[in-house]
Amino acid sequence: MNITNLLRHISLKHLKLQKAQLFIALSGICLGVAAMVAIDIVNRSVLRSFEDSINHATGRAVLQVAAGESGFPEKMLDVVQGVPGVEYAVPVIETNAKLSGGTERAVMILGVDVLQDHQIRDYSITDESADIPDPLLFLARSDSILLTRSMAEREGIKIDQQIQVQTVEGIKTFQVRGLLNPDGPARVAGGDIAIMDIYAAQMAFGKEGRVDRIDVSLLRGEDFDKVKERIQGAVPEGYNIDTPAGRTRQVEMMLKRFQNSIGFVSLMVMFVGMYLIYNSVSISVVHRRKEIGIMRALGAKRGEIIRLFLGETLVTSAIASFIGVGLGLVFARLSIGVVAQSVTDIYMQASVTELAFSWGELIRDGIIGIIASLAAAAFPARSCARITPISAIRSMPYSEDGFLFGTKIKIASAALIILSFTILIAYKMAGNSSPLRTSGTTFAAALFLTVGLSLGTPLLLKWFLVFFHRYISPRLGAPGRLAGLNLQKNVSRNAVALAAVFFSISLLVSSVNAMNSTRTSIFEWIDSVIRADILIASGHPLSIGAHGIPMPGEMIKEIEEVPGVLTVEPFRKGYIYYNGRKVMLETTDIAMRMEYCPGMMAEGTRDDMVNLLPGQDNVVVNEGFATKYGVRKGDSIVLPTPDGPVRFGVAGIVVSYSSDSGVIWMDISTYRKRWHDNLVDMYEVRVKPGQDIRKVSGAILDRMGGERRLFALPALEFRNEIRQILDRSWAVTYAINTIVLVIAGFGIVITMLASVLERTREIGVLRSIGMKRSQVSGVVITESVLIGAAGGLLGAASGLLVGWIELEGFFRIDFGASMTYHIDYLSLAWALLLSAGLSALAGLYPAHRASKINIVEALRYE
Amino acid sequence: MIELRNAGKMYRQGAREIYALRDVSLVIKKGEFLSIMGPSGSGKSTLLNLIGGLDQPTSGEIFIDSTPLHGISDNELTLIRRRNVGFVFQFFNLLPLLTAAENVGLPLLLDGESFSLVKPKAESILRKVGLGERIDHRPEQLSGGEMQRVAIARAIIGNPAVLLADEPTGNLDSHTSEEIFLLLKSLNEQGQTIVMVTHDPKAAAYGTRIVTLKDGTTSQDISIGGEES
Amino acid sequence: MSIKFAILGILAERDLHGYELKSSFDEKVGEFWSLNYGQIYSTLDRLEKEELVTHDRHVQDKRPDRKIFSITPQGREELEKWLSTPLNKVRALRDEFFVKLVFMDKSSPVPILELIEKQKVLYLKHMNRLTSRKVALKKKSGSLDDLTTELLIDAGLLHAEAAIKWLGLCELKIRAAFESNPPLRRI
Repeated sequence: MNITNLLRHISLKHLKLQKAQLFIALSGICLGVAAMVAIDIVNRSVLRSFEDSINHATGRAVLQVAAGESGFPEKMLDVVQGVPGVEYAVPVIETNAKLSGGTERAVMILGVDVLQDHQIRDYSITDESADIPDPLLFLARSDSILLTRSMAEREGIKIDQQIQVQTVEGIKTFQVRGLLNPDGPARVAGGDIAIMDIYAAQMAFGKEGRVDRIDVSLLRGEDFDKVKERIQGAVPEGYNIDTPAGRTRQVEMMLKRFQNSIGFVSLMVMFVGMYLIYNSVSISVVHRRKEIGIMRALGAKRGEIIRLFLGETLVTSAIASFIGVGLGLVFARLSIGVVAQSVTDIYMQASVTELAFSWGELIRDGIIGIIASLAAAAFPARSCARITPISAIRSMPYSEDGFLFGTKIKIASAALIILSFTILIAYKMAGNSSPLRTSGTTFAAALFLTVGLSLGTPLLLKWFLVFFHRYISPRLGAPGRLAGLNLQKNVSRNAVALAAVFFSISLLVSSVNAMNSTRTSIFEWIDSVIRADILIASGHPLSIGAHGIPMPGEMIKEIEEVPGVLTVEPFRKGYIYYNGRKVMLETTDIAMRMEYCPGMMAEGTRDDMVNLLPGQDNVVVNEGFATKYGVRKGDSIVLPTPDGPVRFGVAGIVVSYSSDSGVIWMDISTYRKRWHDNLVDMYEVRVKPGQDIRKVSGAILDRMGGERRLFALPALEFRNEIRQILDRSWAVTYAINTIVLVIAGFGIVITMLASVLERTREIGVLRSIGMKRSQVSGVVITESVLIGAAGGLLGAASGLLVGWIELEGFFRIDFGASMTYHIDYLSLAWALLLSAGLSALAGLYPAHRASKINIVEALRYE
Repeated sequence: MIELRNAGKMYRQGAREIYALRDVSLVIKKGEFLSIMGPSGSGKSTLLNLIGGLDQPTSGEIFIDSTPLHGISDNELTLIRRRNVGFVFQFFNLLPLLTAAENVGLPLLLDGESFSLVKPKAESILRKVGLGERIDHRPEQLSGGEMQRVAIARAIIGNPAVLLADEPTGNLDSHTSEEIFLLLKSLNEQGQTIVMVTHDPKAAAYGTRIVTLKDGTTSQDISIGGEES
Repeated sequence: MSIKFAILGILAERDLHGYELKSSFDEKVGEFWSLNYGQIYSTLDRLEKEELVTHDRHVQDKRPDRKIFSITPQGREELEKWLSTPLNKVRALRDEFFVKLVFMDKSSPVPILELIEKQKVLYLKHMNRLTSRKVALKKKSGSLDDLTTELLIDAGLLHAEAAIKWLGLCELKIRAAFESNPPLRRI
């Protein structure tokens, strides 16, 4: 194979000679692979931690019977146990509590049947506590609790010590009867778990007569599916019978949008990396035109030259991808904390203890990096074939413009842009149920638009330069004019640098605007929903639903009695199963809410809400739910309740961003009637006019604080905290945007360096007839700024459009929420400033090189 | 033997047709040292490019050892350049990154031979052209004359049917030029067919036959081959 | 007149009789100068009268006596003086071709252009011959004599080259003149 010959004798020497350029060119792919790897690992680790948690908590159970968060009557236990084929059916209470004192960490409480549970789960007790947990003794004392060794060590808790735990019933005191080795259930939730007897747990957490789950193991030889069917038949509709793996899948689905959105940005890094490779290979082709011509004259075939360039890319990108994989591991380690926190904030408690990765995935990401590089290199490499031996031998290796400038490319560019708009129009016209309405469609439109514009950059740069020459350069001195002329001399190469800037600015502007729109919409919604003055919850109000501890419904009376309190609105939320999938059920005093909140109705009226919801079997759903399940006003939906399925009328559709899995609103009176659940997650308190909010909230805490720990948070503060959480969840996106911008800056550096190298002689001539060093660097920096400014303008314009497409794609479809597009005008100004500033910065080093050119050597150089 | 039958090369410049070469018929015998003379623009480089397979005629036929060079694919033409033709250019056209030996061995490397086999051959040819001491030097470390010797060595390493030289001494002083011509002459005497394009009568006089071109076609064919005084 | 110095130069190396003198002359500068015996002997006579050369008579069997010529000290002195004096006079242009040019047909460029072409071919052939001699010379391990011969060949080549270049210029200028001023209109 003669390509290996050429690689060894020619490419290797080039690579050695241009280490800096090579490094910059490959950094893009390296970072792209790193981002992919990091995101894959982080996603996998988060999922794995849930999966482990679920698996450890399930033990040998192969089926789990559940029915939403409020649980179901414990009499079901006998029903399930009675199903033929069931070996053991054990009840489980799974709830959240919080240590009172110490780190105040959230703890998962697992209430189990002490006499039976060892059939399903293995508890390994530490030696020091070996003699203590005699099950009967454990049972006899309802304040018995088992902690994990890791938690006990962290909190400094000893056996037989009394600890205080926040529960629904207020602060309760438990006695630590033993410690668990980090094995089996003790590894759930990263060790933040405590085991109690189920009856004690029912008492402590307001779940008398109810269980959250039944874990089922099967008799040997029984058919899994048949038993599952039999259980399904035995319990009322609305019960969810699932496997542990199924529960993992549920989590996976819930996290999908979050993971998709960060996966999308890692794709973007790769894309910009491809620009960089494209750019540097293009430059390398131009730079080595003469060499290619000579080799062609000596008998190298077109295909061999193309393969040579691809071979170089293959080898170098393999190294870059390899390093990228390593870097990705580092990135993953650095970012796992932030991501886990975001997941905890938005979805559920995520305690990630270790990074999980699969070799297959790492190899796959590396290979994607290599393939992306080859794809990016293919185009300029193919252009080698156009180099005729004669042209290369006769002339100096400059100009020969137009190899990226052909009619075909112009047509492709125009076709892609038109295609993109066609898709967008079709998307807009198509109905909600049309198969076109997926985020794939909008993604395709955004991709085609971006690629189309990228291919069109040579033409756009040409136009930009015409404009520059007509209106701007007459005002600039000689360096300015020269800069414009220089850019014109090699439009295609400069266009590639421009494309990289364009792409990154477009990405920046689009994501800033999409995020801005989301933020604005969500904040407007939060402001409209949270109209109370004080929020009262037993944990931080942010933690309700996810991992909070509810309060008894009777508390409302006491709060109402506090002087200064005008109204108190109870709020309860939790997941229930609808069509086998988790949806969010939110309940409140609808009449009161309607009185104070300018709720955003998408369909139906506020009067409907007040008239149809309280006390009746009617609900309203949010847009996401409506879209996902094809529900409209006037339809009815069947929801599972502890007493069996109940049909509810849909009285309207509201705007709510509480959950991306769909939200159902119900009056709390209906909920209590149907679910027999009198708990409340949060009380929203309004104070009488003229009352000091802080004083009133102090008074509430004084009255309740003895029995339980409460949070009383002024709503204003709460809203600010939500903002912070949302912004944090975008931190990864911002970080990646920054990387993308830096890579685009590298693109400019490469371009300008190549341009300076090629113009050595010309710069020598200019210097010899009296151009100052500062003027030479001025020319180079001006060129760089021009590229940046042109890319910035184009990027800002397309970013606005792509931002809207992103909003449509990610939010309207995946999130199911209509959001108005809010343009962040400041971001446009920033983008332009940034592109010009960054390109000036990128021009500095090449400018320095240019100004240091030795006149005598430059003129001698041929 | 190289044969051109009514070979022509026409370029289009918009609607205009420009003939770089028209209706050239020429037979170059094995062992000949043919000088092609003519002022710039007479089409002599075009003629050389056609013979060397760097370009294809728009009309007529060209054969090297009865293999046609017209109407074949680019890959086939490339293989002819690789195996049947050796080029020597005015600007040497060595690859600056490669050593003398690597430059000389490049045609064989292109053909897939391993460098361990190529290197001894390249060295022996470099010794033949008097550069035995310069084997591992890079072009920038060589003088103009030495670079052209490397180029000649590269041209003959594959035992080509014909060695094509395009103003091979255009960039050299007259004394160095003479050495290059003597080298070409001695190669010719060892049987190497050479076709050289030049506008310099001193250079042309080394040929055993001189063909002059004018306005894209042959105007004089002076055969004087081997005639002593 | 430089025949005189050429003969002095040859005799300065060693004594020679007339025939040897002629062949030595031919070998060294024969490419540019062809002399007959008469010219050589008349020059030798003149040199003897100027006392720059003398001769010995050498008796042979069955053949007429031969004269062996040798250079006198005055002769040597004269030769050295000549060798160290640079030429003041640049070579005169006295080519027959110039005369033809003066009398060329003013109504049409064709005849003179044809003539130029033929002349060029002649010069080229001449150069080709000189080059062949030079190549042959180069193949021998060169003596100092070979070097001087080579230098003379070089001079001949450069002169011929100049002539060819000049002829090319003539051709271009004549063509241009006839193109911008067609003879018909001039008459």
